[in-house]
Amino acid sequence: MFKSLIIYEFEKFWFKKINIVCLIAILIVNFLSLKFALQSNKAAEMTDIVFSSSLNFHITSLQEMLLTAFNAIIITFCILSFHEEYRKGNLRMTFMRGISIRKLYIAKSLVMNLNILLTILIHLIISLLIALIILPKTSSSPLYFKEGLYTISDVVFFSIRYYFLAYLSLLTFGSIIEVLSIKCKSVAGVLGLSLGFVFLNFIYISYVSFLLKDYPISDPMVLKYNSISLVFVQAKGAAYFAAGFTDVFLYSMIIIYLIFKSLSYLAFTNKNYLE
Amino acid sequence: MKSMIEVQNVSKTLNKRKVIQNMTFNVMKGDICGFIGPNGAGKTTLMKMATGLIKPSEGEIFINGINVQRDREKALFEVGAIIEVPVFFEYITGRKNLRNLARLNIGMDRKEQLKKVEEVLELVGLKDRGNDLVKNYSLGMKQRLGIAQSLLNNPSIVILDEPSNGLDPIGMKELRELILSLAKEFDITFFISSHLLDELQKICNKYIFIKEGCIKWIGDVNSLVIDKEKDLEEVFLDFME
Repeated sequence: MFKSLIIYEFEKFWFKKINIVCLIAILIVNFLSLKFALQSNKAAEMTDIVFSSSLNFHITSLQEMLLTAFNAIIITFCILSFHEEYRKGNLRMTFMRGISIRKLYIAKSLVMNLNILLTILIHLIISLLIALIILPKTSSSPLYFKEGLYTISDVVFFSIRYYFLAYLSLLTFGSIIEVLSIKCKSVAGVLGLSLGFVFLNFIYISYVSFLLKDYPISDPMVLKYNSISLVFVQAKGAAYFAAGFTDVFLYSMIIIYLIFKSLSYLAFTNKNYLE
Repeated sequence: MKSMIEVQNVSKTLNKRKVIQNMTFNVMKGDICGFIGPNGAGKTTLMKMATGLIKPSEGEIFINGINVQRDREKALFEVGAIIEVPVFFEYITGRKNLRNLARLNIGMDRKEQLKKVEEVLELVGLKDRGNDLVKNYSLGMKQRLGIAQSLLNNPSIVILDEPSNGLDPIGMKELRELILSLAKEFDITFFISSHLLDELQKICNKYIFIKEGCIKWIGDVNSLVIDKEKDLEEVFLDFME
């Protein structure tokens, strides 16, 4: 039965043309990133972190697009899979069937997580291909928050950690949007609150940097406070984690993910549907 | 005769207002039971409770002898329903919508599920239009597609909330014929809410009249129309006064 629920949810996800458009948009996002990289390369040395090469373009392009394009994709996925289906009545037809709503939620979440993984993997593959074809080929590259140049094996290790935390941050952001999608009565409400959440994150980061202005940004205390800001994690935290600086961002993302996933589960399985 | 839907002392409070008040009734096997009341009487709320969408504040509902609130999955196993309007993905075909929903049919392999989709499309007269996008369907066709989805799991009970809403006279006639043929051929019990009394008069063998969340009258057709010159609407209005 659970397998059927997964296939049922997977099919529904890809019935929605906007989700397909989001996937195609990754290609456009990569080309925009490439355009930016080619411009930056003109004014940068090969040893500079902003210099994009065949070895590091997949990292620099994700770093640029994580906060903007990828978060926008997550909001779209969540609105279509949770808000539209829950609020507009598609799920009513499912809820009236003799199936477990708990299992349905788990299936829905797994399919969502799988599709976010697919999105980020497609980004990885496209950026690697673009970099190999267009950008300068190098045997070593600088990495965020690390001194010196690194060979391919170091870059692979860094990339795995970077992509892993980036993926986890997207899942965490998704879990927050899920709660908003189920609770809000309109798409405008979900969009407004989602953007409000991102905006609040920026205010929080500014507030932390103001409060702890005497400490350097890489100070463990500053990083600890900033680790609860999803925006900071996406902008810098993932790179700090990948560089082996601290694991605090990993723990904070897991905790926030679990909190919001629990809230989302409780809202979804509420015994009074839409009351 | 077996009781298919058993509502026992059910009450429901929404926003501090008691919308259903101590309701008790049975729908027996083979019945086509009309659930009649003016707008806001609590018809949809009761049907939502019967299909497990919301839970009663007090009382219990049994489907096929199984408590809906305690054992939802088992109780709804043989239930097909349309509550409010059926919602489909508009930009895919009716057949694809049903094929997707058929995946929820427990105990059927994919081949059987696909066969079932073709069967229900045939039953509701949409076989030839199955490959049309739902956005191109008329209201009547969408309603028929809704009934098709409610039949996907071989239900023994079908609960329909205002099924003739928005249908033209031809659509209503087709729906009436469909319900009668399904009840006769497949021995399906129907529990149908409506405020279109004429429609129900032509198909139901039992009525439940409600007003402001309270039952006003329950009985079969024969015990209702005492004065043969009165039609159902007049009798209903008498009860509502």
